[in-house]
Amino acid sequence: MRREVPIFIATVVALYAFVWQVSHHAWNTGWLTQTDLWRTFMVQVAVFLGAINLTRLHANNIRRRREHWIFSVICIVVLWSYMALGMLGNGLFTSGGNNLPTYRWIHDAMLVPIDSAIFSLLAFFIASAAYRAFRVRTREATAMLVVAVIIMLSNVPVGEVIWSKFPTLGQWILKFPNAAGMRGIQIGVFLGTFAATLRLFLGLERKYLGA
Amino acid sequence: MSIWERFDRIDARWIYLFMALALILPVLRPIGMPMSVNPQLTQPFYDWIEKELPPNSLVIMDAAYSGGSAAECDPQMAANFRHLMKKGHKVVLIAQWELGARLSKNVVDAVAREVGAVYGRDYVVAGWRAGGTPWMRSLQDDFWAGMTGVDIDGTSLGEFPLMQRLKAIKPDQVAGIIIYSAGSPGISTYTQFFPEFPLYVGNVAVQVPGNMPLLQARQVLGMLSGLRGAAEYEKLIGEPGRATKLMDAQSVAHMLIIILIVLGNIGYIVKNRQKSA
Repeated sequence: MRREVPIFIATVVALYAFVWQVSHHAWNTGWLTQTDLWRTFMVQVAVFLGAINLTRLHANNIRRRREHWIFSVICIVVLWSYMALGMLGNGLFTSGGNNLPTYRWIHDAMLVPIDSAIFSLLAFFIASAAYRAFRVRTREATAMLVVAVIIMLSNVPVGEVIWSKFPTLGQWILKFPNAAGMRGIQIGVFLGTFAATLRLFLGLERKYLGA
Repeated sequence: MSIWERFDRIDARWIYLFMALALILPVLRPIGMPMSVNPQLTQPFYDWIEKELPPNSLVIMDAAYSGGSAAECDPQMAANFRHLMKKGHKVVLIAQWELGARLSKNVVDAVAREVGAVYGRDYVVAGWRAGGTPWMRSLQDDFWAGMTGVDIDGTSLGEFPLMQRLKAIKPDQVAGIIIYSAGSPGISTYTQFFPEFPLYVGNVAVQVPGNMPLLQARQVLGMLSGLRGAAEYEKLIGEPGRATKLMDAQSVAHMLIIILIVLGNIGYIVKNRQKSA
Protein backbone atom coordinates (compact mmCIF):
# COMPACT_ATOMS: atom_id res chain seq x y z
CA MET A 1 0.00 0.00 0.00
CA ARG A 2 2.92 2.36 0.62
CA ARG A 3 3.64 2.29 -3.10
CA GLU A 4 0.20 1.74 -4.60
CA VAL A 5 -1.55 4.68 -2.93
CA PRO A 6 0.99 7.36 -4.03
CA ILE A 7 1.03 5.86 -7.58
CA PHE A 8 -2.79 5.95 -7.65
CA ILE A 9 -2.85 9.59 -6.46
CA ALA A 10 -0.15 10.63 -8.96
CA THR A 11 -2.00 8.93 -11.83
CA VAL A 12 -5.33 10.58 -10.95
CA VAL A 13 -3.68 14.01 -10.67
CA ALA A 14 -1.79 13.48 -13.95
CA LEU A 15 -5.06 12.50 -15.67
CA TYR A 16 -6.78 15.56 -14.24
CA ALA A 17 -3.92 17.83 -15.38
CA PHE A 18 -4.05 16.29 -18.85
CA VAL A 19 -7.82 16.79 -19.21
CA TRP A 20 -7.46 20.32 -17.83
CA GLN A 21 -4.76 21.19 -20.37
CA VAL A 22 -6.71 19.94 -23.39
CA SER A 23 -10.10 21.40 -22.32
CA HIS A 24 -10.00 24.85 -23.85
CA HIS A 25 -13.27 26.29 -22.65
CA ALA A 26 -14.40 26.76 -19.09
CA TRP A 27 -17.97 27.27 -20.32
CA ASN A 28 -18.07 23.72 -21.71
CA THR A 29 -16.62 22.08 -18.64
CA GLY A 30 -18.54 23.04 -15.51
CA TRP A 31 -16.70 20.64 -13.20
CA LEU A 32 -13.34 22.03 -14.34
CA THR A 33 -14.53 25.53 -13.47
CA GLN A 34 -15.10 24.33 -9.92
CA THR A 35 -11.62 22.85 -9.72
CA ASP A 36 -10.23 26.09 -11.21
CA LEU A 37 -11.46 27.84 -8.06
CA TRP A 38 -9.70 25.26 -5.90
CA ARG A 39 -6.51 25.69 -7.89
CA THR A 40 -6.74 29.48 -7.65
CA PHE A 41 -7.06 29.13 -3.88
CA MET A 42 -4.09 26.75 -3.78
CA VAL A 43 -1.97 29.27 -5.71
CA GLN A 44 -2.66 31.83 -2.97
CA VAL A 45 -1.69 29.29 -0.33
CA ALA A 46 1.51 28.55 -2.27
CA VAL A 47 2.37 32.26 -2.38
CA PHE A 48 1.83 32.51 1.36
CA LEU A 49 3.99 29.45 1.99
CA GLY A 50 6.64 30.99 -0.28
CA ALA A 51 6.63 34.16 1.83
CA ILE A 52 7.02 32.11 5.02
CA ASN A 53 9.83 30.05 3.53
CA LEU A 54 11.65 33.18 2.31
CA THR A 55 11.32 34.67 5.80
CA ARG A 56 12.77 31.52 7.43
CA LEU A 57 15.68 31.51 5.00
CA HIS A 58 16.58 35.14 5.58
CA ALA A 59 15.94 34.93 9.33
CA ASN A 60 18.54 32.17 9.37
CA ASN A 61 20.98 34.43 7.49
CA ILE A 62 20.46 37.16 10.09
CA ARG A 63 20.72 34.84 13.07
CA ARG A 64 24.04 33.42 11.84
CA ARG A 65 25.33 36.80 10.68
CA ARG A 66 26.14 35.42 7.23
CA GLU A 67 27.78 37.65 4.64
CA HIS A 68 25.48 40.50 3.47
CA TRP A 69 22.99 39.64 6.26
CA ILE A 70 21.85 43.27 6.27
CA PHE A 71 20.18 42.68 2.89
CA SER A 72 18.20 39.86 4.48
CA VAL A 73 16.91 42.36 7.04
CA ILE A 74 15.83 44.70 4.23
CA CYS A 75 14.17 41.81 2.38
CA ILE A 76 12.09 40.73 5.40
CA VAL A 77 11.13 44.29 6.36
CA VAL A 78 10.05 45.19 2.80
CA LEU A 79 8.20 41.89 2.25
CA TRP A 80 6.03 42.04 5.35
CA SER A 81 5.62 45.79 5.74
CA TYR A 82 4.48 46.29 2.13
CA MET A 83 2.12 43.32 2.44
CA ALA A 84 0.74 44.67 5.71
CA LEU A 85 0.29 48.14 4.22
CA GLY A 86 -1.69 46.70 1.29
CA MET A 87 -3.83 44.43 3.47
CA LEU A 88 -4.42 46.65 6.46
CA GLY A 89 -3.84 50.21 5.21
CA ASN A 90 -7.51 51.03 4.78
CA GLY A 91 -8.68 49.00 7.73
CA LEU A 92 -8.47 45.30 8.44
CA PHE A 93 -9.39 43.23 5.35
CA THR A 94 -11.31 46.00 3.56
CA SER A 95 -9.42 45.04 0.38
CA GLY A 96 -8.84 48.67 -0.54
CA GLY A 97 -5.27 48.93 0.72
CA ASN A 98 -3.71 49.27 -2.70
CA ASN A 99 -5.67 52.50 -3.19
CA LEU A 100 -3.57 54.18 -0.52
CA PRO A 101 -1.44 57.01 -2.00
CA THR A 102 1.60 55.77 -0.01
CA TYR A 103 1.14 52.22 -1.29
CA ARG A 104 0.91 53.47 -4.86
CA TRP A 105 3.81 55.84 -4.45
CA ILE A 106 6.07 53.01 -3.32
CA HIS A 107 5.02 51.09 -6.42
CA ASP A 108 5.23 53.93 -8.96
CA ALA A 109 8.24 55.82 -7.61
CA MET A 110 10.37 52.97 -6.31
CA LEU A 111 9.45 49.54 -7.63
CA VAL A 112 8.98 50.48 -11.30
CA PRO A 113 12.10 52.68 -11.64
CA ILE A 114 14.28 50.09 -9.87
CA ASP A 115 12.95 47.34 -12.14
CA SER A 116 13.49 49.50 -15.24
CA ALA A 117 16.98 50.56 -14.16
CA ILE A 118 18.14 46.98 -13.60
CA PHE A 119 16.77 45.88 -16.96
CA SER A 120 18.27 48.87 -18.79
CA LEU A 121 21.75 47.80 -17.63
CA LEU A 122 21.37 44.99 -20.15
CA ALA A 123 22.07 47.48 -22.96
CA PHE A 124 25.58 47.95 -21.58
CA PHE A 125 26.26 44.32 -20.75
CA ILE A 126 24.96 43.12 -24.13
CA ALA A 127 27.22 45.59 -25.96
CA SER A 128 30.24 44.35 -24.01
CA ALA A 129 29.24 40.66 -24.34
CA ALA A 130 28.58 40.96 -28.10
CA TYR A 131 32.00 42.56 -28.58
CA ARG A 132 33.70 39.68 -26.78
CA ALA A 133 31.59 36.76 -28.05
CA PHE A 134 31.07 37.49 -31.75
CA ARG A 135 34.47 36.46 -33.13
CA VAL A 136 35.12 34.64 -36.41
CA ARG A 137 36.67 31.65 -34.63
CA THR A 138 34.77 28.97 -36.55
CA ARG A 139 32.44 28.79 -39.55
CA GLU A 140 29.43 28.37 -37.24
CA ALA A 141 30.44 31.40 -35.18
CA THR A 142 30.88 33.42 -38.38
CA ALA A 143 27.40 32.43 -39.60
CA MET A 144 25.93 33.49 -36.26
CA LEU A 145 27.80 36.79 -36.39
CA VAL A 146 26.55 37.59 -39.91
CA VAL A 147 22.93 36.72 -39.02
CA ALA A 148 23.12 38.78 -35.82
CA VAL A 149 24.36 41.83 -37.73
CA ILE A 150 21.61 41.48 -40.35
CA ILE A 151 18.90 41.17 -37.68
CA MET A 152 20.28 44.15 -35.76
CA LEU A 153 20.32 46.29 -38.88
CA SER A 154 16.88 45.14 -39.99
CA ASN A 155 15.38 46.25 -36.68
CA VAL A 156 16.46 49.89 -36.75
CA PRO A 157 15.96 52.75 -39.24
CA VAL A 158 19.72 53.11 -39.84
CA GLY A 159 19.67 49.67 -41.49
CA GLU A 160 17.26 50.95 -44.11
CA VAL A 161 19.43 54.00 -44.67
CA ILE A 162 22.42 51.72 -45.38
CA TRP A 163 20.48 49.27 -47.60
CA SER A 164 16.73 49.35 -48.19
CA LYS A 165 16.51 45.53 -48.33
CA PHE A 166 17.77 44.94 -44.76
CA PRO A 167 14.23 44.80 -43.23
CA THR A 168 13.09 42.31 -45.89
CA LEU A 169 16.17 40.16 -45.40
CA GLY A 170 15.80 40.26 -41.60
CA GLN A 171 12.13 39.34 -41.88
CA TRP A 172 12.96 36.40 -44.17
CA ILE A 173 15.48 35.08 -41.64
CA LEU A 174 12.94 35.35 -38.83
CA LYS A 175 10.13 33.86 -40.85
CA PHE A 176 11.84 30.82 -42.34
CA PRO A 177 15.17 29.60 -40.88
CA ASN A 178 14.37 30.94 -37.41
CA ALA A 179 10.75 29.73 -37.33
CA ALA A 180 11.82 26.32 -38.59
CA GLY A 181 14.48 26.06 -35.89
CA MET A 182 12.08 27.24 -33.18
CA ARG A 183 9.49 24.67 -34.27
CA GLY A 184 12.08 21.92 -34.04
CA ILE A 185 13.02 23.00 -30.52
CA GLN A 186 9.38 23.27 -29.44
CA ILE A 187 8.46 19.86 -30.86
CA GLY A 188 11.52 18.36 -29.15
CA VAL A 189 10.52 19.89 -25.82
CA PHE A 190 6.96 18.64 -26.26
CA LEU A 191 8.06 15.09 -27.06
CA GLY A 192 10.40 15.05 -24.06
CA THR A 193 7.66 16.30 -21.75
CA PHE A 194 5.16 13.85 -23.21
CA ALA A 195 7.55 10.94 -22.70
CA ALA A 196 8.14 11.98 -19.08
CA THR A 197 4.37 12.27 -18.50
CA LEU A 198 3.74 8.89 -20.08
CA ARG A 199 6.28 7.27 -17.77
CA LEU A 200 4.38 8.77 -14.83
CA PHE A 201 1.06 7.51 -16.20
CA LEU A 202 2.38 3.99 -16.65
CA GLY A 203 4.01 3.89 -13.26
CA LEU A 204 7.50 3.59 -14.76
CA GLU A 205 8.67 6.85 -13.17
CA ARG A 206 8.98 6.24 -9.43
CA LYS A 207 11.65 8.65 -8.30
CA TYR A 208 9.06 10.75 -6.50
CA LEU A 209 8.44 7.71 -4.28
CA GLY A 210 12.05 7.74 -3.24
CA ALA A 211 12.73 4.66 -5.39
CA MET B 1 51.08 46.33 -29.22
CA SER B 2 49.77 47.85 -32.46
CA ILE B 3 46.52 49.78 -32.64
CA TRP B 4 44.91 46.84 -34.50
CA GLU B 5 45.81 44.46 -31.72
CA ARG B 6 44.34 46.82 -29.16
CA PHE B 7 40.96 46.43 -30.84
CA ASP B 8 40.99 42.86 -29.56
CA ARG B 9 40.90 44.04 -25.97
CA ILE B 10 38.92 47.24 -25.59
CA ASP B 11 38.33 47.99 -21.92
CA ALA B 12 34.66 47.36 -20.97
CA ARG B 13 34.51 50.81 -19.34
CA TRP B 14 35.08 52.47 -22.73
CA ILE B 15 32.30 50.34 -24.19
CA TYR B 16 29.93 51.44 -21.41
CA LEU B 17 30.87 55.09 -21.97
CA PHE B 18 30.33 54.89 -25.74
CA MET B 19 27.02 53.08 -25.23
CA ALA B 20 25.81 55.75 -22.81
CA LEU B 21 26.68 58.47 -25.35
CA ALA B 22 25.07 56.48 -28.17
CA LEU B 23 21.84 56.32 -26.20
CA ILE B 24 21.77 59.83 -24.78
CA LEU B 25 22.96 62.06 -27.64
CA PRO B 26 20.30 61.04 -30.22
CA VAL B 27 17.58 61.68 -27.63
CA LEU B 28 18.93 65.21 -27.09
CA ARG B 29 19.57 65.83 -30.81
CA PRO B 30 17.17 63.61 -32.86
CA ILE B 31 18.27 62.66 -36.36
CA GLY B 32 14.87 61.61 -37.72
CA MET B 33 15.84 58.65 -39.90
CA PRO B 34 13.16 57.31 -42.26
CA MET B 35 11.45 54.07 -41.28
CA SER B 36 9.29 51.59 -43.19
CA VAL B 37 6.38 49.60 -41.75
CA ASN B 38 6.73 45.84 -41.44
CA PRO B 39 4.07 44.37 -43.77
CA GLN B 40 3.87 41.05 -41.91
CA LEU B 41 4.00 42.12 -38.28
CA THR B 42 2.73 45.68 -37.79
CA GLN B 43 0.52 46.29 -40.84
CA PRO B 44 -1.97 43.43 -40.12
CA PHE B 45 -2.28 44.70 -36.54
CA TYR B 46 -3.18 48.19 -37.76
CA ASP B 47 -5.53 46.88 -40.47
CA TRP B 48 -7.46 44.80 -37.93
CA ILE B 49 -8.31 47.83 -35.79
CA GLU B 50 -8.66 50.22 -38.70
CA LYS B 51 -10.71 48.10 -41.11
CA GLU B 52 -11.77 44.74 -39.70
CA LEU B 53 -13.15 45.36 -36.20
CA PRO B 54 -16.93 45.93 -36.28
CA PRO B 55 -17.97 49.34 -34.91
CA ASN B 56 -18.17 49.68 -31.13
CA SER B 57 -16.26 46.43 -30.54
CA LEU B 58 -15.06 45.34 -27.12
CA VAL B 59 -11.38 44.37 -27.00
CA ILE B 60 -9.52 42.76 -24.09
CA MET B 61 -6.02 44.10 -23.46
CA ASP B 62 -3.63 42.16 -21.24
CA ALA B 63 -0.57 43.78 -19.67
CA ALA B 64 1.77 40.82 -19.13
CA TYR B 65 4.89 42.86 -18.47
CA SER B 66 6.70 44.74 -15.71
CA GLY B 67 8.84 47.84 -15.31
CA GLY B 68 11.83 46.25 -17.03
CA SER B 69 9.96 45.89 -20.30
CA ALA B 70 7.78 48.99 -19.97
CA ALA B 71 10.11 50.94 -22.29
CA GLU B 72 8.99 48.68 -25.13
CA CYS B 73 5.46 47.69 -24.11
CA ASP B 74 4.15 51.04 -22.80
CA PRO B 75 4.47 52.86 -26.18
CA GLN B 76 2.91 49.86 -27.95
CA MET B 77 -0.08 49.93 -25.63
CA ALA B 78 -0.40 53.71 -25.84
CA ALA B 79 -0.48 53.64 -29.66
CA ASN B 80 -3.01 50.75 -29.83
CA PHE B 81 -5.23 52.26 -27.16
CA ARG B 82 -5.21 55.66 -28.88
CA HIS B 83 -6.19 54.01 -32.15
CA LEU B 84 -8.98 51.96 -30.54
CA MET B 85 -10.42 54.98 -28.75
CA LYS B 86 -10.33 57.11 -31.89
CA LYS B 87 -12.21 54.40 -33.77
CA GLY B 88 -14.86 54.32 -31.03
CA HIS B 89 -14.08 50.84 -29.69
CA LYS B 90 -14.14 49.80 -26.04
CA VAL B 91 -11.33 48.29 -23.99
CA VAL B 92 -11.21 46.22 -20.80
CA LEU B 93 -7.71 45.87 -19.44
CA ILE B 94 -6.57 42.90 -17.40
CA ALA B 95 -3.06 41.88 -16.36
CA GLN B 96 -1.41 38.49 -16.06
CA TRP B 97 1.53 40.24 -14.38
CA GLU B 98 0.89 42.12 -11.16
CA LEU B 99 3.18 45.05 -12.03
CA GLY B 100 1.59 45.31 -15.47
CA ALA B 101 -1.79 46.19 -13.96
CA ARG B 102 -0.72 49.51 -12.48
CA LEU B 103 1.72 50.34 -15.29
CA SER B 104 -0.94 49.84 -17.93
CA LYS B 105 -3.45 51.96 -16.02
CA ASN B 106 -0.99 54.84 -15.99
CA VAL B 107 -0.51 54.44 -19.76
CA VAL B 108 -4.17 54.30 -20.77
CA ASP B 109 -5.24 57.03 -18.33
CA ALA B 110 -2.72 59.42 -19.91
CA VAL B 111 -3.92 58.62 -23.45
CA ALA B 112 -7.58 58.78 -22.36
CA ARG B 113 -7.08 62.32 -21.07
CA GLU B 114 -5.69 63.35 -24.48
CA VAL B 115 -8.41 61.72 -26.59
CA GLY B 116 -11.31 62.41 -24.22
CA ALA B 117 -12.09 58.77 -23.39
CA VAL B 118 -14.19 58.26 -20.27
CA TYR B 119 -13.35 55.65 -17.62
CA GLY B 120 -16.19 53.20 -17.14
CA ARG B 121 -17.84 54.06 -20.44
CA ASP B 122 -15.00 53.64 -22.96
CA TYR B 123 -12.53 51.59 -20.95
CA VAL B 124 -12.13 49.82 -17.63
CA VAL B 125 -8.95 48.61 -15.96
CA ALA B 126 -9.88 45.42 -14.13
CA GLY B 127 -6.30 44.64 -13.12
CA TRP B 128 -4.53 41.55 -11.82
CA ARG B 129 -5.66 38.78 -9.52
CA ALA B 130 -3.60 35.97 -8.06
CA GLY B 131 -4.26 32.50 -9.43
CA GLY B 132 -2.31 32.21 -12.67
CA THR B 133 -3.82 30.27 -15.57
CA PRO B 134 -6.78 28.82 -13.59
CA TRP B 135 -7.78 32.40 -12.77
CA MET B 136 -7.51 33.41 -16.43
CA ARG B 137 -9.65 30.46 -17.47
CA SER B 138 -12.28 31.29 -14.87
CA LEU B 139 -12.80 34.61 -16.69
CA GLN B 140 -14.27 32.59 -19.57
CA ASP B 141 -17.07 31.52 -17.28
CA ASP B 142 -17.68 34.54 -15.08
CA PHE B 143 -15.54 37.66 -15.53
CA TRP B 144 -17.07 39.48 -12.60
CA ALA B 145 -16.54 36.61 -10.16
CA GLY B 146 -12.96 36.14 -11.42
CA MET B 147 -12.31 39.82 -10.73
CA THR B 148 -14.07 39.60 -7.34
CA GLY B 149 -16.55 42.17 -8.63
CA VAL B 150 -14.20 45.17 -8.50
CA ASP B 151 -11.76 47.02 -10.77
CA ILE B 152 -8.11 47.73 -10.02
CA ASP B 153 -9.02 50.49 -7.56
CA GLY B 154 -11.65 48.48 -5.73
CA THR B 155 -14.65 50.19 -7.39
CA SER B 156 -17.58 47.89 -8.03
CA LEU B 157 -17.80 46.75 -11.67
CA GLY B 158 -21.55 47.38 -11.43
CA GLU B 159 -20.86 51.12 -11.48
CA PHE B 160 -19.41 51.00 -15.00
CA PRO B 161 -21.80 50.96 -17.99
CA LEU B 162 -19.15 49.22 -20.11
CA MET B 163 -19.07 46.22 -17.79
CA GLN B 164 -22.71 45.43 -18.55
CA ARG B 165 -21.39 44.21 -21.91
CA LEU B 166 -18.79 41.91 -20.42
CA LYS B 167 -19.98 39.06 -18.24
CA ALA B 168 -17.49 36.50 -19.51
CA ILE B 169 -14.68 36.35 -22.06
CA LYS B 170 -16.71 34.64 -24.76
CA PRO B 171 -16.75 35.25 -28.52
CA ASP B 172 -20.22 36.82 -28.43
CA GLN B 173 -18.96 39.52 -26.03
CA VAL B 174 -15.32 40.06 -26.98
CA ALA B 175 -14.11 40.88 -30.50
CA GLY B 176 -10.43 40.17 -29.91
CA ILE B 177 -7.52 40.10 -27.52
CA ILE B 178 -4.30 42.11 -27.47
CA ILE B 179 -1.56 40.99 -25.13
CA TYR B 180 1.61 42.95 -24.30
CA SER B 181 4.01 40.24 -23.34
CA ALA B 182 7.46 40.13 -21.81
CA GLY B 183 7.54 36.45 -20.86
CA SER B 184 5.56 33.85 -18.97
CA PRO B 185 2.66 33.77 -18.22
CA GLY B 186 1.77 35.40 -21.48
CA ILE B 187 0.85 34.46 -25.02
CA SER B 188 0.51 30.71 -24.43
CA THR B 189 -2.45 31.33 -22.08
CA TYR B 190 -4.39 32.59 -25.09
CA THR B 191 -3.15 30.19 -27.74
CA GLN B 192 -4.07 27.31 -25.43
CA PHE B 193 -7.29 28.40 -23.76
CA PHE B 194 -8.68 31.19 -25.97
CA PRO B 195 -8.01 29.82 -29.46
CA GLU B 196 -11.16 31.19 -31.12
CA PHE B 197 -10.34 34.84 -30.44
CA PRO B 198 -8.32 36.96 -32.89
CA LEU B 199 -5.03 37.37 -31.00
CA TYR B 200 -2.62 40.27 -31.51
CA VAL B 201 0.64 40.64 -29.62
CA GLY B 202 2.85 43.48 -28.45
CA ASN B 203 6.18 41.78 -27.86
CA VAL B 204 9.48 42.77 -26.34
CA ALA B 205 11.92 42.47 -29.26
CA VAL B 206 13.84 39.59 -27.70
CA GLN B 207 10.72 37.39 -27.74
CA VAL B 208 9.90 37.89 -31.42
CA PRO B 209 12.07 35.07 -32.86
CA GLY B 210 10.50 32.58 -30.43
CA ASN B 211 7.00 33.63 -31.39
CA MET B 212 7.43 33.60 -35.16
CA PRO B 213 6.00 30.04 -35.47
CA LEU B 214 2.78 31.31 -33.86
CA LEU B 215 2.54 34.03 -36.47
CA GLN B 216 3.25 31.58 -39.27
CA ALA B 217 0.54 29.25 -37.94
CA ARG B 218 -1.85 32.24 -37.65
CA GLN B 219 -2.38 31.59 -33.95
CA VAL B 220 -1.17 35.17 -33.67
CA LEU B 221 -2.45 37.48 -36.40
CA GLY B 222 -0.25 40.53 -35.90
CA MET B 223 2.73 41.45 -33.78
CA LEU B 224 4.52 44.59 -32.65
CA SER B 225 8.23 43.96 -32.31
CA GLY B 226 9.67 45.94 -29.43
CA LEU B 227 10.15 49.67 -29.63
CA ARG B 228 10.43 49.49 -33.42
CA GLY B 229 6.92 47.97 -33.62
CA ALA B 230 5.55 50.78 -31.46
CA ALA B 231 7.25 53.40 -33.63
CA GLU B 232 5.82 51.81 -36.77
CA TYR B 233 2.36 51.84 -35.23
CA GLU B 234 2.72 55.48 -34.25
CA LYS B 235 3.64 56.20 -37.86
CA LEU B 236 0.57 54.34 -39.14
CA ILE B 237 -1.85 56.26 -36.91
CA GLY B 238 -0.06 59.51 -37.75
CA GLU B 239 0.84 60.34 -34.16
CA PRO B 240 4.59 60.08 -33.59
CA GLY B 241 5.26 59.63 -29.88
CA ARG B 242 7.84 58.30 -27.46
CA ALA B 243 8.79 55.25 -29.55
CA THR B 244 9.49 57.36 -32.63
CA LYS B 245 11.69 59.67 -30.58
CA LEU B 246 13.72 56.77 -29.24
CA MET B 247 14.31 55.03 -32.58
CA ASP B 248 17.36 57.17 -33.36
CA ALA B 249 18.94 56.17 -30.04
CA GLN B 250 18.30 52.51 -30.85
CA SER B 251 19.79 52.97 -34.34
CA VAL B 252 22.99 54.51 -33.01
CA ALA B 253 23.28 51.89 -30.24
CA HIS B 254 22.93 49.04 -32.76
CA MET B 255 25.53 50.68 -35.02
CA LEU B 256 27.91 51.00 -32.07
CA ILE B 257 27.56 47.28 -31.30
CA ILE B 258 28.22 46.40 -34.95
CA ILE B 259 31.29 48.69 -35.06
CA LEU B 260 32.60 47.09 -31.86
CA ILE B 261 32.10 43.61 -33.32
CA VAL B 262 33.97 44.61 -36.50
CA LEU B 263 36.84 46.19 -34.55
CA GLY B 264 37.05 43.19 -32.23
CA ASN B 265 37.32 40.85 -35.20
CA ILE B 266 39.98 42.98 -36.88
CA GLY B 267 42.03 42.81 -33.68
CA TYR B 268 41.41 39.07 -33.38
CA ILE B 269 42.49 38.35 -36.99
CA VAL B 270 45.61 40.58 -36.80
CA LYS B 271 46.67 38.96 -33.53
CA ASN B 272 46.19 35.44 -34.94
CA ARG B 273 48.21 36.27 -38.09
CA GLN B 274 51.08 37.63 -36.00
CA LYS B 275 51.00 34.51 -33.84
CA SER B 276 51.19 32.21 -36.87
CA ALA B 277 53.85 34.31 -38.63
